[in-house]
Order: sequence, then structure tokens, then C-alpha cells
Amino acid sequence: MRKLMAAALIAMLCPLLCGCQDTGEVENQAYVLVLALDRSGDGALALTARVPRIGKGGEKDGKGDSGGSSYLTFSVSAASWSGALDELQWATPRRINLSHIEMIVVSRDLAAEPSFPALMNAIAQTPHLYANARFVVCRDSARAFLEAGDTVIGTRLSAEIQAMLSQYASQGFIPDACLADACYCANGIYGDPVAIWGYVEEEVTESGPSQRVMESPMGQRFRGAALFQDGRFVKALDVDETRLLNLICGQTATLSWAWRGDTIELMPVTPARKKVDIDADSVTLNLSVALRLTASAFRGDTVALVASVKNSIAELTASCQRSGCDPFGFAESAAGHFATVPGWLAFGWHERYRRARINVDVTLSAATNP
Amino acid sequence: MKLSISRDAALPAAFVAAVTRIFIDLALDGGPVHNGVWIAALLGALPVLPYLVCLDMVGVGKCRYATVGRLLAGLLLAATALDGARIVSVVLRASGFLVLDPVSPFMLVLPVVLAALWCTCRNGDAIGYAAMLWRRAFPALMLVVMILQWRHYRPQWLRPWLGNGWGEIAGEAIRTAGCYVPATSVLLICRHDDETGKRPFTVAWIALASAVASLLLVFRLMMTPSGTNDMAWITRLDALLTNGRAPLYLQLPMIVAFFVGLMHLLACECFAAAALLQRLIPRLNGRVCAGIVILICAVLPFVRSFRSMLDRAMPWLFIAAALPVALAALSQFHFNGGKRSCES
Repeated sequence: MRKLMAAALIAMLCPLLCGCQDTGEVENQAYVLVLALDRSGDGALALTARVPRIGKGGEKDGKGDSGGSSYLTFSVSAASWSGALDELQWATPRRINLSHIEMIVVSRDLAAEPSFPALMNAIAQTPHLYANARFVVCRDSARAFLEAGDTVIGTRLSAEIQAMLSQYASQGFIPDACLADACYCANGIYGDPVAIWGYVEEEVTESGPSQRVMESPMGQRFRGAALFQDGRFVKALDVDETRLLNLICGQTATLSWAWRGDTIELMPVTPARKKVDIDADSVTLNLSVALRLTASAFRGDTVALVASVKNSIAELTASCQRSGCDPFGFAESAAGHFATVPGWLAFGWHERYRRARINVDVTLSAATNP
Repeated sequence: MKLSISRDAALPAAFVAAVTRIFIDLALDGGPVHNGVWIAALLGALPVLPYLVCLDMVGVGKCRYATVGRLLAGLLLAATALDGARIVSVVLRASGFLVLDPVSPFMLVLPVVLAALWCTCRNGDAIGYAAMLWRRAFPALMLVVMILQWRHYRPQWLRPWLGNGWGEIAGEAIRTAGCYVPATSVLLICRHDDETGKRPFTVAWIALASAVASLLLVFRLMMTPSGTNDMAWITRLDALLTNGRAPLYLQLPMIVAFFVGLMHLLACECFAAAALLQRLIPRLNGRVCAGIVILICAVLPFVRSFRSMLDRAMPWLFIAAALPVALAALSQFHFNGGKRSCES
């Protein structure tokens, strides 16, 4: 019994010893939900953070009152990431907590800088920063992008970001990209990372290249993918290209295909198959996509439909090859031809990928009736 | 109090300690993780198997050549205590990563050190049978982890199969062999209670441990792509515990598996070191031995250059331990015909 009591006492002491002695109250924390990074005019790194307001104002606004935002926005600038975080600690009246970040937004100009890979690594290796945050590259100022977004659905910005981006990703409008994945790919030996492409739309009505018209109370738009090469932004894909990218990468369950004034729902039968043939002096990329019509009512020309999808995939891959970025995962397949990493790195994948021939094969099967 | 452990309890303790030690060393503590580490985990077991056969034959206290026995016990004591300190330093860094507010390192170390002291004072059988339970619970926990992570595993990331080549694999294999020395030192001091009954086959257990560690490494490699740049220790830990992508509420099974595995490893090594100390100085009480070993494990992580010194010694550890073990086993075989251990 005495030993049991001693064991219980030790067990009770343990939680008191480790961290719980100095509890961090929620009210004392500034939970950053969105971080935006820009390069300011004087060359410094501009960091903007959005944190929830705590108190009566926040509660009132959180219930949907339009009398003000439920969130506070802090902006600082410094020469480096660590310096900017330090400045942010000074600017914020509560302790900065990065463990609940939902989204990290980077301006296109900053993402295209040669120093960006090092910055991305520094961000990903920040202690207690939630690396599963969505990674967005925006067309213009990241701060303006951040300020254009506020709670529209529900009461919490974090819930809205999660729901909205999950919905867009499931539809294939954006890639399912998070900071950790982007960082791993940028440091990895295979393909290139992708991010979500965003921009601010001033006009309420938007007419896209595919003649879509949209009305939305939100100023922020999440449409398309940002492609990287060697850890730096190189180009953006529009929604239709992003859907194809997601199809090739096996990230989407359906493909809505605009064709002859109609929208046709297609479904991948199996994940797209990628095979790379390496000869002495040439590389051939083989891409095989098997699709199925989701509705049996389609009575159009399936041969022309297949040719349309095939041409679009060929244009997308050719465009990416010209930019030198491989977001499709061909590199992972090609690396299988090599026994060691040094051998693979010496092969010079990116240069060979630019000059590679590509064979795209698309098959379409009819919808199966239940 | 005499520190002792039965052979039936020592084997699961050594099994769990070996799996955890190899996995921690190759996936986290040994620098960049490259594609060939799972092969290194398998190859590292090859020289260890004859070492374990010899270890099974020898005891410490009553060897014909007492000097060899004492040398062996002293060497294993030093290796095991230093390795225990290394595990404490891993716990220290990992806890510091997970605790949201800055906490004094002393406060981070104290709970785990107290727990290890308590485990050691409960004697070897408690540690061994706890490891036996963990050996059954761990696969169930890993199954949950794998189901949660299944979508993120990418078999393509295992290629190129040989990572940085055979040279690096051989280096890792030698390090891995060194990992077995502290993890299996508990086998040296175990009691051979039932010599006539069916004895568990030590070599088969440790071969299985290397296969399990290798399998865990394969799954770890499928979580992140092989990198050209060395990721920081903290990033490797993040990739190990959360895959960098798991939502916060899904990280718990991985964190539980990691820290409970570390606790079993630490308890096993602290007990083995304390028991070896008692064999060398029989007058010492077991609790005093446990206190001395735990104190060493708690203080050394704070000594500057401790880790770099241990890293330099690691490739030589197996050779340093294997020579006296082989010598002691040969002497036993010569005088006892290899039928009895020194202690029996």
C-alpha cells in the first residue's frame, strides 16, 4: 500500500513538473490564423498576421454583426524571417502562437526570388508552427489578399478557411497543397512543389477565360495552382489546367470538362499511370489516363471529346516542360531507373525533362448503369 | 536489494529496446535519412547475431577469467549508461519541441528520469513484462497510425533503393550494430532459471527485432521524399511524429508510440547499467546503483560536446564490445564446454 501511494504521488507530480507549472491561458495567446508575406519597397520582409480578437467586440462580431471585424491584423517588417517574428512579438499585445495557422500567403514577387527556398525552409522549421497550413501564392500583395478576406460563413475564420479550401480542393479548382508538402518537395530529389494560386478580385462579377460568370461577396479568389522550380515560383495555372494537374496527380475524384458549350462530368477509372523510358540520349514520358462518363445520357462524339482532353493534357505538359517544372511526378517514376541518389542527381533530370518526348494516352469508357 | 531479471523477461525488454534504439538512430538521431537505411538496419543485425550467441554463453561474476568478465561488464556498463544519457537527451529535445511554452530543460528531464528510477527500482522482471505488454500493444497502435497515414504513404519515395550507395549503407550498418550493444546488454545479466526447459532462441528474437525496425523505417521513408538538403533535427522529428501533414488530433497515436517506446528503452538500459554496476561492486545496494546510473543519465545530456563524442564512438562500439564478449565466450566454451553460463 505504501509503495502504491508513493507511485501515485510520483505520477501526480509528473504533470506538475513538465510545462503545466506555467500554464498558458487562451486569453494570453495570440493565435495566428493567417500569415501573409511580402517584400516591402525597402527590401525588407513584410509580415502580416491575422489573429482573433478576444473580448466583447469579438463575441459580438463573431455572431455576424457587421460593426467590425472579429480579427486583428498586425503588420511588421524586418530583414529576415526570424527578425520579423521577433517584431511581431513586440507588435502583438499577447503571446504569438503559430500552432493553429490555417493559411500562409506569399506574394508572387517574393515567391519568385532566389532567396525564397531558404525562406520557406526557415518558415517550415519554425518551432511550434503548424506545417499542415495551406500554402497560397497570390498574384499581388499578400497583405491586400489577407485583408480582402473575412468571415462569410459560420463564425470562425479558421473554420471557413478549412471548409472553403477543402471544398475547392475536392472540386479540383486548387491543388491540395500544404506548407510541409511544398517544403519536402522543394528539398527533395524528385518533382517540384505546387501551391494554391490566389488573387483579389475587385469586381463582384467575374468573367473567366472559360466564360464562367460568378458573383460572390468574397474578395479573395482561390483559383488555380502556382508552380515552382528549384523552390521558386515560375508560373501559375488556371482552373482548367489545375483540374488536369489534379487528375494526373490522382488528387481528384471527378473532372468537369467544358466542351462545346456543355459541361461533362468525367471520372478517373484508375489513377493516371506515369512511366518514364530512359534511353542513352533521350527520355520519353508516357502518361495514360483512363476516364469514365458519369452520366449515361451523353450522346455526343466521344472520339472528339477524348481528343479534346488529350490535347489539353499535351498542352499542359508541354507548357510545364518549357518552364522546367515537373509537378506531375514523372521524376518519381524516372528515379526508379537508378540504384543510388548520386546516380540519379548526376542524371540531371530537369534538363532532360525539358527535352523529353511525351506520349499521352486517354481512354474513355461509357457510364455503367447501376 | 539485488537487481535481477529472468531470461523470459529480458528477451522482450531487449527486443523492444533494440527496435526502438535502431529506429531512433536511423530515422532521427543519425543525420539525414536516406533511402538505404532500411537495408542498413537489416545488415547491421548480421554481425550482431554471433555476438548474441556468445553473450548468451557468458556471465559476469564467476567467469574463469575474472578480468575478462569485469572488463566486459565495465565496458557494457559504460556503453549502456552513456546510451541511456543519449536517450534522455532525445527525450529532452523532443519534449522541448512539443511543449508550447518555454520550460527549463531540468523540468523537462525530471519526470522521465524519475519514471526511469522508479522502473529500475521495481526490478528487472517488471521492466521485462511491461515490454512484453508493449510488444503486443505497439502493433495495434501502429496499425491505427498506418490507417490514418495511408493516403500519404508514397512507395515511389523508396527509390533509388540504395540511397547514397553501399558505402553509406555499410557505415549505417556498423552504427546499427553498435546500437545493439546497449540495447541487448540486459541479456548478459539475466537469470537462467530453467536450463532444462524450452529456452527462447535469442538470435531469432533479435533477428525479428531488426526486421521490425527495418519495416518501420520503410514506412518512415514513404512519408517524406528523400532530400538533398539535410533537414534539421526538429524537422525530422516533425516528419516522424506528424508527417508534417497530420491534423493535430491525429498526431496523438504517433506521439504515444514514440514516447512510450523511448520510456521502455530508457528503463531497459538504466536497469541493465545499474545491474552491471552491482555485478562489478556487489556490496552496493540495487537502489543506490539505480540512483547512480540515473544521475549519470540525467546530467550527461547537459554536458557540452557529449553528443558529438558519442557520435564519434558509435561506429567503434560494436567492435569494442564484441572482442571481450568473444574472448569470454571462448574461455567459457573451453572450460565449461559451453553448456553452462558463468553464473549458473
